Amino acid sequence: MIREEHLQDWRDAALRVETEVRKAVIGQDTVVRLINVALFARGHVLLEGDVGVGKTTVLRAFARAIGGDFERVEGTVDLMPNDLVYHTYVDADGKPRIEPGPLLRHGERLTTFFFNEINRARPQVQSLLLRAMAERTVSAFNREYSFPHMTVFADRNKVEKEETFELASAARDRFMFELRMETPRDPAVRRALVFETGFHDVDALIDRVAPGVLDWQSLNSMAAAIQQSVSASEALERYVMDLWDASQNPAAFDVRIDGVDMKKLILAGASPRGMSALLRAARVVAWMDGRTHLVPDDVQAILPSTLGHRVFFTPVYEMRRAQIADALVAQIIEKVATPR
Amino acid sequence: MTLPNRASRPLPFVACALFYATVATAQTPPAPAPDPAPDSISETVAVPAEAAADGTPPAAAPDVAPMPAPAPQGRPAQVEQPRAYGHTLGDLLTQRVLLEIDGTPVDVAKPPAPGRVGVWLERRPTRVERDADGRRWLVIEHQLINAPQALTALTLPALDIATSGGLLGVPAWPISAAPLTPRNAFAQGALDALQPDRAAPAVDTASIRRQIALWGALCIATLLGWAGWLGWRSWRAGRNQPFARALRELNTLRGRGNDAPDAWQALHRAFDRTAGRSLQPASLSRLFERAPHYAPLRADIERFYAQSATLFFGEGQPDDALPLHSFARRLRSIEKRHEA
Repeated sequence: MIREEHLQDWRDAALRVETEVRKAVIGQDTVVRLINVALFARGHVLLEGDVGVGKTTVLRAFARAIGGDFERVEGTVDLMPNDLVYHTYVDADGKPRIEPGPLLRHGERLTTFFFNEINRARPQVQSLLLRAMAERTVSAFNREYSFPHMTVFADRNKVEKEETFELASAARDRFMFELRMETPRDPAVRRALVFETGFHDVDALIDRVAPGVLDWQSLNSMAAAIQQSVSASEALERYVMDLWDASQNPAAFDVRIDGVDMKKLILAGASPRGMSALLRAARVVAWMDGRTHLVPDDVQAILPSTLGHRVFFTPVYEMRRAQIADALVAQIIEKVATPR
Repeated sequence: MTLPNRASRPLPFVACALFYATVATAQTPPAPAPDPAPDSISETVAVPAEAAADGTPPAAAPDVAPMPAPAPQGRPAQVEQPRAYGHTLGDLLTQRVLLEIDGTPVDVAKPPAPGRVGVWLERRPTRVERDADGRRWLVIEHQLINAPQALTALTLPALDIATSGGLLGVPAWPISAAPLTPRNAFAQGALDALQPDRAAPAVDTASIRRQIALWGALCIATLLGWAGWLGWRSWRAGRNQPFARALRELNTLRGRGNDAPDAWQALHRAFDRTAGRSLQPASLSRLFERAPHYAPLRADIERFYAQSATLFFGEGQPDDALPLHSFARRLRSIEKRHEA
């Protein structure tokens, strides 16, 4: 039985994870906070960003802070699902050998699984990963392997479009957050990243992070306790329902975007899974803020990362997704009134 | 009947008449007579020849000469008589009697009694005057109180005035009294004695009435327009100006107390409309960017949002809830001052 004192301890631990990660990563406070939220909401994260902004560094820092094992896979066009599960080779004695692949290798110790450039992997690979994300199990060697503590982070290269396989909408919906990691704009941060030698050696950078700040094996039960401890009032429920309606029918809430016919924009709004992910994440935000009830600010803090990739546009507008999705979420936040 | 003296009569004429009367009196031969009653005043009331027994004025006696009046008994006095002719109803006839007997000043022992003298005359209370030479005169005034229907000869009565030196005799003095108007001037055709009043020419008031109607209508139209404009302005304010509308809603909710969620929501909508977006504590700065004139109430506005969050999303009714009505009135007064 997890008591309120435990929750308070864990809250301190959660904030400490963030502090530790920030020792290695600067200028990405929002991303760090949201990854931390996803960890405690037990959600997976799709990272999208410029090349070389430190996505791997962030994830390695998190993996070190929360403990457990870190695994990284590069998505390539010839990667097959089996490559994730097992690895075949001929050993020094000339005998063929089969060993568990990157997904199975760490067993239950796997906490952070980073799939780099997921859109370069074939759909077969993506669907294996989606199953692993949804069920945290994989069938191999005639048995089930489970990774109950795993959090999947996937990176989508947004620069190249050739030889890539765009994630299906169902696949994207399984990520709690889609985070955009951009090159920092603050001149001081930019100068530090370029001139401070400490940021040039990634391994040394990761060593700055205190290892095992919390007990990663308790993450799941703690996450469940957090969800139990934060309540949502009727007014907040109405607000979330309004947000959901607005994602399906923005015109009804007077949401307008320049150059967009709002009545023809939306193909499908957020899914029930998406909305439950939204509430899970919002509860974690409230908990991190030391509250036992949700306020609209909690929801608004994670709405852009939660809703943006869950609304599906008609083909006419799908090509302009990046700009329209941001504007749509910003408008929904501005137009949906609460309390009402 | 007492009528005012004809004060408007021209002064030279009066002076001339007085001179004539004095001369005439001086020519009147004194008529000494024995004094039958030395302590009383004998007086002869003069009446016209046809004076009716019932006191009604005679119908007409143009040719009848005045009857010879009884002579006074006393020593003849020096009397300044009034003008003898040209009198009509209301005229004052003034006799001045020199209070001397044989050159010796005397005092009036018993003045003639005031009151009605026959049908025609009314005697006023007498008085004594002193002239420029220091001589004293008894002033006896009779007023003509009846109007004859034809030119009539009357007589001021002869008087015996008791004085300290014996009786002083004032002889009778015939006068003529003229009717106000003849009864029948010609009695032919339309030449009646009394002509009907000439109808005053009616001034044409149609154009004045038209003007009054026109300007009156314009005035009423202006007032109605003004009232309409005021009404429209307040209606438009209630429709377009967020806090005017909120205040109106609060007024309708007044009976339900300060804790009615509707009242809080009405103010929330007003803030949202003022900021042009849905406001939460985290986005309050947008309100002050767009409407900096609310900055003086910033502390109260922040308190409102904090309490509202408690009410709608947290534990419930806040302890020291903001008095919403006066808060709304203050916001409305700021809004009114800054209305475009």
